[in-house]
Amino acid sequence: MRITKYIGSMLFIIGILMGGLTYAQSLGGTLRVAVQGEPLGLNLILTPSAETYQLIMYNVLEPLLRYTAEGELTPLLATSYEIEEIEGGTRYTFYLRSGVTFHNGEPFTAHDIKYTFDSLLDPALASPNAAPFSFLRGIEILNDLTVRFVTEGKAAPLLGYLASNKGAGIIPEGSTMEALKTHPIGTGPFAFAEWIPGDHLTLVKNPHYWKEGSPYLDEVIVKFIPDQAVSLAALLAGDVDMVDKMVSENALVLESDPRFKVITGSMNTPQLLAINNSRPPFNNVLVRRALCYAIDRDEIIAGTVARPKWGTPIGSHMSPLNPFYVDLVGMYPHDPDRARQLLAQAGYPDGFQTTICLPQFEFHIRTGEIIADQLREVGIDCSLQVLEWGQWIERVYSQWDYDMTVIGHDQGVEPAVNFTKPLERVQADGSSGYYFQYSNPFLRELLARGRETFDIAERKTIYAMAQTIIASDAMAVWIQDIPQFEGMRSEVMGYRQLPIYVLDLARLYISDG
Amino acid sequence: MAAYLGRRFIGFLAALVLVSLLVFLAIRVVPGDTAQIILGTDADPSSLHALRERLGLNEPLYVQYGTWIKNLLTGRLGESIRYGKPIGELIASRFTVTGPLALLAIVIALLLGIPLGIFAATHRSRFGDYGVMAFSQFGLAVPAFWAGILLMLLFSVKLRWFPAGGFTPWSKSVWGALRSIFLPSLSLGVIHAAVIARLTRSTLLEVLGEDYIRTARGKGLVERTVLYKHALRNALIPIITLVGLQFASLLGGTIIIENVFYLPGLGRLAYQAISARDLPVVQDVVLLITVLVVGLSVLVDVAYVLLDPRVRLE
Repeated sequence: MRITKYIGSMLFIIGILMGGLTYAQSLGGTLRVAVQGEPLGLNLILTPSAETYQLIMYNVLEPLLRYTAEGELTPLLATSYEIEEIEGGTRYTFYLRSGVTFHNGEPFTAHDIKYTFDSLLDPALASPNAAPFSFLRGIEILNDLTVRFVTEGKAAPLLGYLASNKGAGIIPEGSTMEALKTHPIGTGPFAFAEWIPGDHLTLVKNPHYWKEGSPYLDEVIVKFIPDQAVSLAALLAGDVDMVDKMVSENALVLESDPRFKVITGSMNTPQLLAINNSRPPFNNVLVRRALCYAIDRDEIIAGTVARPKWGTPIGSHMSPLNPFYVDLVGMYPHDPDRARQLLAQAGYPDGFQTTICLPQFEFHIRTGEIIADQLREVGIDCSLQVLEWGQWIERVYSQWDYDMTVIGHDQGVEPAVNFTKPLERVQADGSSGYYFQYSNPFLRELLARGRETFDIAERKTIYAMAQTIIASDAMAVWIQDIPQFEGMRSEVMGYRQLPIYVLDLARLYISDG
Repeated sequence: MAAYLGRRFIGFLAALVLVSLLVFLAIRVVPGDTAQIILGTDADPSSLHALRERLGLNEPLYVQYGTWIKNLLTGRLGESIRYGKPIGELIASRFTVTGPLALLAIVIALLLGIPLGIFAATHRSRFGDYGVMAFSQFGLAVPAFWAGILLMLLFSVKLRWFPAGGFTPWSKSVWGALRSIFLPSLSLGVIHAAVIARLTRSTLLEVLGEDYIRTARGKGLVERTVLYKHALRNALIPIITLVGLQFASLLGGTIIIENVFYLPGLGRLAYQAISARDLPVVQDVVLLITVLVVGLSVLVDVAYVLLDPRVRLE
């Protein structure tokens, strides 16, 4: 009797809790989010801006497929797909979701997909996001809800590109590139409402969204606050509910305040000491390995991240967030003696002089200072030179006029996105055409095979091999996976980080306690 | 007077031509490939080339300059690369923030600075004088952005009287707009008040030692009349010059303060445009600020003449 009563009251409480949760989730309301950077125009076909991508992709514009928080591909505007190999190429047939409409009321069909990709690949528009799709041979409309992509050769990365490329969000047929610059139209859970440059961007709930019950919020106001101290003050003062990508020092402030919470994650951005592999003495693998042994990643993390446990040391050109990542941190433990020994073997028993060019960002500057100190210990005399971002792009990235630099590479999940350009771009004479200046014909063959392999397990083996090769060649010194901190009021629920640079707004809601 | 104004106007035009040339050249000698900065590190050579072509960066410099000036004269300000919006529209909407912000800052500076200066001058070498001088020393030493952050911590985070930043458009709520520019105006105003208080004190002290003031007092005028009617009016001339100059530095100060309070004003527009190499916006905004500053200095000169007929129109 007593047990029945107990169970009864338990069920009652659970009922109330669940009812409350459902109530809170369906409540709607407005969420005010502070972001640091501002979009560079809102047309994702024309802009390379990560800030535009972060807000518009998945939220306003939807691609055929999407990535889950676990890095898996799942259908979005497509419900399923088939892959067939044909003579000299591959055929991908996508079956599309029915009953989907754009924010302007037009129905979504295969014609919109063809229009999107025709625009993206239109040479007259010269989209900065078109290059990854260069292997597309054509797009055929089979009927209103079936579309077929034909590629040159086997193109395994296509699915990943469709889920994450900046230009892969589907726009309605006939929409002009000019109009989309200031008013994006898609099929996503939120419709664009207004953009006041320099101030804020507002998205409102799409009442006709194809996914029943989504999104939870009625409105999202994104405020552009460039200064980290100010965005923290705005959160503390109640002017915003959430701050995207805060610095770790601010995360520390919120950690001890019960009104707020911090969700720590990864930026999917490996930080590395990039080396000019063609410039002496760095063209000698022994010197590069010496650098790897000389650098103490833990000390760098302790000096750049407010709580060392928030930083993750890495040993290859990928973030641990990526399902293709292999942990190679152990390949070069911190060992200054071994570093000195290798330098002596390479013919530099007394070390040498060099310069580290640093881009203007505080995080990388601090890293560079610690590295210079660590290298001094093994006899390498490093001077530091801080460059404005535009200068860094010109000197280091475009002209390869540098010895070493500290930088983060923001990445996608598809390994071909992360590897094709840095490792496969070559000049006419076969030397590297990328600022790493690292060239390895065997690796290029391996990566080409990776692009043609559909089997996931086999792909993982190929990319694990690729990571091991560049690590053993000490192409760069990989330092840490740059951590990401999302600070918010404790009532903000449903945040989950995606492995791509997109702020997923559809699942967020404000609980009323 | 007409000839004087004519001369001033010619000087004004000459300054504009010179500044337009300087701005044009300065942003082109800054290192960094404009197209690459705009399109980012992932851009391939063909899109870089297309963008350079679209921006006219492949043309010789004199052609680019000529096109810009020709477009300006025909009222075409062009389009922002960063925002994809017409620059005229951007400037107009940004001015509704920066204009009132600078104006309110000057009003605060005058309302605080002049009375404090008078008070210090009339209480010379007494406790009140030292207090005002200490405040003014503090105001001179503190940078506006730091004052802004301190004010924000006190009035927004602790007391919650004002928003910590952002801007409510005038069309939505006049009260909201005033609230959003109050703290930034105060941060700039307090600092400028310090300078005004100092200058008011010293010029007033100087004027109060003049013979005609002694005469006025000797005539038996009440101290209030001597102070406000005779002394202050003469002491105002250097203060007006200073306020004119300060308005120019205030417009500079808005760049920092608008970034601190994330106000969508002209200063922030210029700042972001420079880092994003949004060349058309940088050129137009800097030129507009020049027009404002130079125009204001002409106005100050005219006000000078009106206040003091002894100033010779040469």
